[in-house]
Amino acid sequence: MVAVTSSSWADEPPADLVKARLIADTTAVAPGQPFKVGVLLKITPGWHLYWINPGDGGVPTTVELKLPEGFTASALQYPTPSRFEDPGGLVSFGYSDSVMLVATITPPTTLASDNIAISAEANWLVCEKVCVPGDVKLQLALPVGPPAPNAPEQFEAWQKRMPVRQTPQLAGIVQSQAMESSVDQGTLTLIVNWKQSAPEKIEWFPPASTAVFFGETEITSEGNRTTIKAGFQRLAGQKASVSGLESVLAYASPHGRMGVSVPVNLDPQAQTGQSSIQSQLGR
Amino acid sequence: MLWKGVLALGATLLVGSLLVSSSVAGEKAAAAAKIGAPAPMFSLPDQNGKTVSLSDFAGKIVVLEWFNEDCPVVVRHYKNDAMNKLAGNYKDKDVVWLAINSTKQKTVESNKKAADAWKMDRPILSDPSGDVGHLYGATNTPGMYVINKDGVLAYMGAIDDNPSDNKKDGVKNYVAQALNELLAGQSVSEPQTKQYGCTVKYAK
Repeated sequence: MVAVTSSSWADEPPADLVKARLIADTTAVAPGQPFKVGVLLKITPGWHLYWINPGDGGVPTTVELKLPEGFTASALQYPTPSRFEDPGGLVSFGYSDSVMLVATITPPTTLASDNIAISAEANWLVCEKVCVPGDVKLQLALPVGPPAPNAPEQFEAWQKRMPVRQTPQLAGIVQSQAMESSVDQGTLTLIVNWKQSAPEKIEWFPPASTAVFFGETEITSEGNRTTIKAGFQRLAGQKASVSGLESVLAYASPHGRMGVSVPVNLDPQAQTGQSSIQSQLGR
Repeated sequence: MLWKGVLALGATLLVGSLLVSSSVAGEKAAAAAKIGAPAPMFSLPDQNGKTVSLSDFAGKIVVLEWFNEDCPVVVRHYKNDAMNKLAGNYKDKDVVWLAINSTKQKTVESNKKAADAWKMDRPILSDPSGDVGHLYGATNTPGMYVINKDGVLAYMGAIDDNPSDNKKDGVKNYVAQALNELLAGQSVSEPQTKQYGCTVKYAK
């Protein structure tokens, strides 16, 4: 039986700005055994599309998965993004060249049929000097049977680009926030303690949130410590939770660019008046 | 929406081992537009070359729509005449609706072409220097602002809650919601959301 482990290339008009493909890391699906699927987007040089938090620009890249009965999917994993700057001081976050968004799929413990079909609808806005929206529906068919690895190098390479909680260079991160006189505006401070001297090319990517907007960020390093100060504003009338928001800290290491997933808590109850509460992260 | 918080670094730092990298790209002027504060005044030429000032509309509800006909997200909102119909609906309720184009290469002439091509029955104001865009902190097109009858900014943000155009139903139009609330004498329940769309193509 020939396994169809990836969809064919689906091209987005007008000039194939983004080529999309849906692949699985397995050749077959076994009951109860999780596997990964990836939506791989190849982007024409010079163009970029956006991270889950697009920053000032664009629209986030999203993937909606359609799974058979009884299957569940994890949240979509986004690789560590890059920064793009536009005139006017606009800063956006996203990807150029290529990106693979990954989800872990868990099959149910019993499987009725011998073939399973997964579809993914990917949505993006790809920009250079102008922007072009994209929308493709991708399909994947996998047989039920003993799993074997498919495209392992590809999944391994992209797994390395996903933000992680702990890295060899990181000793710990301490978070605090201070409010300005206006109750809606404040500054989030992240103090990053490194095991050795602070690395190069440190960047911080604020989390996606409908309830908080992040403004300017200032990053300074001295010795083994990096201080990140990010201005933020609460958006009045927006009720979404502001604790456990996933930000990403990126830096250059001897093994390439590293991304650290740093959860931040902007819950007003997390700090009182003038003093700020510190919570230890990264342990 | 752009704004500048004042960040004081405090303690002295050793210059020798200090690495500073700021994510600020160039000069960001502090946006004057803030919810609950008087909306900043401006005067700009419309597509017929006539000067239009915000002060012309004192006592009326005014909608500002950051516009760029080259942006596909804007195009999406004009499909089936949706944006025009929305503006037209509220025109009957005495709401003034102004489109503003802060795209660096757009002109009064190109705005006239766009208004004619898209059958827009309202002013498109020309702001190629981007000064008014920066004044309002406009980051994206479409970027929306609603000013109440007292000249106070009552809404700023996205046009709706559907940035990726993938909501199957129940899309909430924040502008319509704000206008309905203001017209009913209520306060705006969701005064601020994050804009989405193409970045405003500023000159600087």
